[in-house]
Amino acid sequence: MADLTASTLPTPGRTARGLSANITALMFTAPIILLLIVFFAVPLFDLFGFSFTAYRPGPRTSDGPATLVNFTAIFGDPFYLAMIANSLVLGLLTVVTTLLVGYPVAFYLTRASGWERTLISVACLLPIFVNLIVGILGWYILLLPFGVFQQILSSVGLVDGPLPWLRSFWTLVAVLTYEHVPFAILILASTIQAVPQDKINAARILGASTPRIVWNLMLPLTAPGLVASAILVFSLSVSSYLIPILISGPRTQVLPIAIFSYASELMNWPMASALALVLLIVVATITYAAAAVANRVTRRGQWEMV
Amino acid sequence: MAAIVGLGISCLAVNQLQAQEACTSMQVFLGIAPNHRENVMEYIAPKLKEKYNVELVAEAIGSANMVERITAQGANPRISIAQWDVPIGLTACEQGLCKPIDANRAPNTKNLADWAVTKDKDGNPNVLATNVLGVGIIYDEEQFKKNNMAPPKSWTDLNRPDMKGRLAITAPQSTMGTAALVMLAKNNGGGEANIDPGFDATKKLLPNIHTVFTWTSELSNLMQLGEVWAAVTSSNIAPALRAQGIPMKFVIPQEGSPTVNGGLSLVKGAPCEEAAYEYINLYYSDEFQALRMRKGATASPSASAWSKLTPEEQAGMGLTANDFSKLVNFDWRAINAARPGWIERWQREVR
Repeated sequence: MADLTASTLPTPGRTARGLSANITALMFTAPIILLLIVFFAVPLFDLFGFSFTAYRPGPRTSDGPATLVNFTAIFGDPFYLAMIANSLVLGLLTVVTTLLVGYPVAFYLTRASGWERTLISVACLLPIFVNLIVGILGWYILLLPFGVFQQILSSVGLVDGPLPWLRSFWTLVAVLTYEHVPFAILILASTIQAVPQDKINAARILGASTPRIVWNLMLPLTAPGLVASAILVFSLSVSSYLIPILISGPRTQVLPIAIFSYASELMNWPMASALALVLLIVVATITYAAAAVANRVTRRGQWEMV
Repeated sequence: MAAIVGLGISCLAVNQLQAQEACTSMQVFLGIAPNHRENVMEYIAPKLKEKYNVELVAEAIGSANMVERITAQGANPRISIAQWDVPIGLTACEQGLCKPIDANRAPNTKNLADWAVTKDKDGNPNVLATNVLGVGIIYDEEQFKKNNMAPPKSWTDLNRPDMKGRLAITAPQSTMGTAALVMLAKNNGGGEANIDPGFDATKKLLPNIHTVFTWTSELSNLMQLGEVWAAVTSSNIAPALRAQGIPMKFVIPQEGSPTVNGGLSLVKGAPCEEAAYEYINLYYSDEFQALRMRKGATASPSASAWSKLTPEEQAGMGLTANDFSKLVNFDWRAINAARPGWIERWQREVR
């Protein structure tokens, strides 16, 4: 009780120190706050305004009467609902495949040493350094209807005729996974690193099978990393424009393609803004939900560590 | 008091001086075409620098993008000249982005035929054609010969089974794609006002289609890789690909080729009017038009420029002045009004 009073009634000296700490903190964070306000908050506010105005041809302004036409057009149209569902499924599938591919690699990376460690680290970092377009073009050329893969497979008689692999949903998932797996590995490796080998050894001595160790020990303890990489991969995949437009084209309709089309082909900024807002809200909601779930899972992890 | 007035006058003088000095560089949007920017920078830019001490800043971007960016600059655009596709320029001008072009201030524009000059409702020219493009079929002569395929002659040849998987078309997001869609509609009993037959005909093409391309660079890549052997696109692409060593030939289908001309407009409220007129005059000079035909393979709308070309050079063009009669002109005002709907419909129906 005395403690509480002491902390609720700060001494003058403390206030001064607190204030200067605040100023220091402000000085350190001011550049990013300023950048966010100018280049994120202001455009976002503009986007918000645009999404509630109706489209008018001619020079555009965001000061028309507020209306919900764009949103009724989006949510009253099975085409856009399917598009939103497409985007979500695409993001979730990419998260699943990225984690499935990334987790074992990350685990191995933390246990490896010497040249193996270097090799895996370089292999993870290299795709990030290579320009996105260069990376995608490799896939593009390999998967073309008359490209290398199909030529080989048809010469052995495994497939017949040009197949639209390039334009398929699954190819899109594969390329998004390929592009984003390095991020997941780097995040996962740091959390896996934090799991002490003692705990794994202890579990093994007590007779736990490998699947049981993974399920009851590794997954709960590395949950924060799993969730962090899932959130990152999900938001990167759902908002990716370049990969869908180059790989699947219009055959797989996703929100970013529609947003681009409305903004710069149809010159309909209100509709583009509304779609962008829908994308933003969907991603934000899912990120928040994932973070909330993560908190619970992490607590469970802590409990298991006792 | 006199001092104050004097100060005021000197301020005015300074302002005027600043207004004149403001034009040290002129920004221009160019249409994306082979060698377009290179030619402008090598021929027009030095002359502007010499005469007006104006630095030319030219950027080649898509027409729709130009409208977008000029609109975004509001009442004081910094772009003096926009060289957009005539159909797009037409709508942009109707939205109030252009100012009338005074032919007397750019005398070379008087060489233009009537069809090359688009006028506003008061009869003032606002979009001048810079080149004539036809939309038709280009095909890979070598591959066709190797595979015993007959060269395409008509729009219906696109449905030929031997083209399976080898055809590329472009979507109505591009002006070429819009023109092709209307042409297919016309061939099947529709037209600008009734586009359904165009969509039906496009859907019948789907088994043959390799790619619906958005950018001609994608088309060149696919042709270079030997993936695509025939495509619906504009007449200037074939000579450009030929220059890269890909044996492409342009065909005006027997039903006719829609024309999609490149155009030029003065942007309303933009600086550097004097330099802009000089630019236009230089652009329409016979020398420059001939240069564009040689290096960019875009047919000139100016009759006098054709005489600068040798008969061989004329034959090498995708389209010559003699072919102008085979070109079909569409009602672009009607098309522009309906086009956003077509683009949306295309996204839903043509996959």
